[in-house]
Amino acid sequence: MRRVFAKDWWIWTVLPVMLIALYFDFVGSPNDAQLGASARILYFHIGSASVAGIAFTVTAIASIGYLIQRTVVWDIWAAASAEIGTVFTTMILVSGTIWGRVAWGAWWTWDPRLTATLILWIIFAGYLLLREWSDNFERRATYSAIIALIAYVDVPIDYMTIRWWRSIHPVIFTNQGINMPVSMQIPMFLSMGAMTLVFIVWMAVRMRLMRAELGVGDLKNAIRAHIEGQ
Amino acid sequence: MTPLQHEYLLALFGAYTGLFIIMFGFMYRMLQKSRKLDHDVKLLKDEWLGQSEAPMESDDADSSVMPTVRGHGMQDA
Repeated sequence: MRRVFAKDWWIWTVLPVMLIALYFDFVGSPNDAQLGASARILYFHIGSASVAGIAFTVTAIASIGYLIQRTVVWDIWAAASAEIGTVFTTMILVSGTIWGRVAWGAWWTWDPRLTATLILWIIFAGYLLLREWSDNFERRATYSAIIALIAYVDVPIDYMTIRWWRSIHPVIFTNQGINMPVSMQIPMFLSMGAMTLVFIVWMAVRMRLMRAELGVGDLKNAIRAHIEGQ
Repeated sequence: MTPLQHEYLLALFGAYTGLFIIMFGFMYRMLQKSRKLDHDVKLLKDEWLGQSEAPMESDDADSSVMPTVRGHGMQDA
């Protein structure tokens, strides 16, 4: 146990950073004039959204990389990032529905932003299911790369929905600046930064496990080839 | 902000702290599993290479042999 903590000490430094950010989000930030204390959910919500955006962008870039070079490392990057992006999209949907109940009086509404986010979550859930069900590595990597690229089209659409269509979802980042007082921007950016760090360490850990699992697969194939060659 | 609201927010902070501790707990388990897999693969590779480099004393030595690794908790025969 001590070895895991000692060798990967840098991973564990992110946890206190995240907890400090959470403290500022929930306890150290001011109440919103209209929404009161419930506005604090937004910090977590926006942080999750920014990480999901980064994660799916990494997935799309890695998928293009795989389709061009056909190397395993691109597939690992894409899969690990898609998994984490899907978890953070789940956090967006959960925190968003809780906030929506307080702000709009409804758990869910078929608003363009909410619908686009739900579609994104469904496509990437399908992506992860495809990866679980397929045994053929090359076919799985190719199909999942194509699905990831199709799904990624929804990411910029999701971001722009509240600017292109009429939506009840608040717009924080506008052409005129950030639509939020400075006292609320600090916990928001702190949350975004801490969650990005969580994404980085999670990627490192998940990719290491995927590489280890790949090592087992490679060894199995080598033994099988050796036996068949006898 | 009333004291009750403050306590409620502290409770929320505690709940989210728990969520992230669970998340890092999963990461810890993933790291443990990666280490174990790396170790097992290395062990199997070494054993396999050792077998294929061993001097052939009989005709049987030329046949394919699956590498064997003693699992956790297994006793010597």
